[in-house]
Amino acid sequence: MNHRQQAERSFFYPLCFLPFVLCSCVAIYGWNIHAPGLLSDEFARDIPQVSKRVALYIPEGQKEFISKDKGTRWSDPQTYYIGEAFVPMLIESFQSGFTEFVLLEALPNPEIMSQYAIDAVVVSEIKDFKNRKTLPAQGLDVYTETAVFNRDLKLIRRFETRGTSEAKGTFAKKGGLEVNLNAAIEGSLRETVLQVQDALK
Amino acid sequence: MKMNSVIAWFCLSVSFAVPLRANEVLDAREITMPPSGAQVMVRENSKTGKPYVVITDSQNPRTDLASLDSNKYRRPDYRMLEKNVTAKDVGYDGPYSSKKKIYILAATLATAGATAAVVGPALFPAAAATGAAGGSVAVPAAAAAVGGSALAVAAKKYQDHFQNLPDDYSRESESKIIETETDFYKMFVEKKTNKPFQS
Repeated sequence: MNHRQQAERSFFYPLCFLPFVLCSCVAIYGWNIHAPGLLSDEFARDIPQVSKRVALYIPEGQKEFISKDKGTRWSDPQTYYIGEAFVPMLIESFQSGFTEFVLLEALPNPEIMSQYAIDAVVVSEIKDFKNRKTLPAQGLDVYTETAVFNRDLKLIRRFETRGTSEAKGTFAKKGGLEVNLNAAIEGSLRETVLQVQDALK
Repeated sequence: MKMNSVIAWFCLSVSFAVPLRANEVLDAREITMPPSGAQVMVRENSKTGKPYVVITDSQNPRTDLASLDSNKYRRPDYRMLEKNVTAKDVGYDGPYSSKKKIYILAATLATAGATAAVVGPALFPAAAATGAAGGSVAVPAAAAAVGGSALAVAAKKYQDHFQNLPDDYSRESESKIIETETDFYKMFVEKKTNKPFQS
């Protein structure tokens, strides 16, 4: 085989794979972070349960919230599936924080609120996500915005929360990224439930 | 049993909103709800198995929350975030990302006779060690020539914060009240273009 044929062959195979790699870069080369989506035992231990009937309305699209923030320019591609874990954890946090929890999938209106004797409806959504990454450590911040409405759907309280989790060596250990994300989400939900409980006193 | 009890408490509690004739006792299943278009059902949290009440619109049912991930994992133990604690130490059985696929791609290209930059796992165990700490698997030559200085800049930016990070993890949370006067319709019905931010 002459040199020209050898050179053509050496470029042929990379070119074959290049479109495939470019089209699915993150799937083949990168990190897909799916958190467990469960609260830790600490949540039920630290957050008391309040005797109130509270409805939760989750706006459209929350479950699909993702972030490709990889922290630094030279980091591996990362995709954080935040909404996928946030929604079940949000439901679980309200189940834990209130004795009578109702998930409202219908759009809230005063008729539903009075018919089912619901004290308040809470609407919570993810607002932002930040990945602060260096070589030794990683910090994740989850920002949410929550609004609490009374039976007439008038605003009682509106607030932002931030949940942060920082740890070293998360990329090195199995499940480190996922648990770090889970911890950040749980932190924001801890503040959410405490604020709602305080607003309904 | 748990679902039946959840349905029972909810229906019985709603029955106080319905006027009853004297000396009449209604079974929970016989209560007639005023027509509001809403439908009450009980759903089970697919991860914990704990039931909860759902009020849904029978005309426009939402399906995005019904298909929750049904994988049942152990509750996460955040001691795993400590420096020398592994997933095995705390019995973590949840999802995890794997670098294996990166090495599989590299080996595939190397086997195909590619002269491209990605090399197989046998050739950069040292880079894998640094990659494990920093999450970067890159062309060794390119990383040394280009990535080194950029990494140093990025690392210095957060040095003041992370240099004092203890070997155990740090978790914090805070909330801030937003002073505003509005109602549900102004926030979520009128402003339908106000979609959640996606970075």
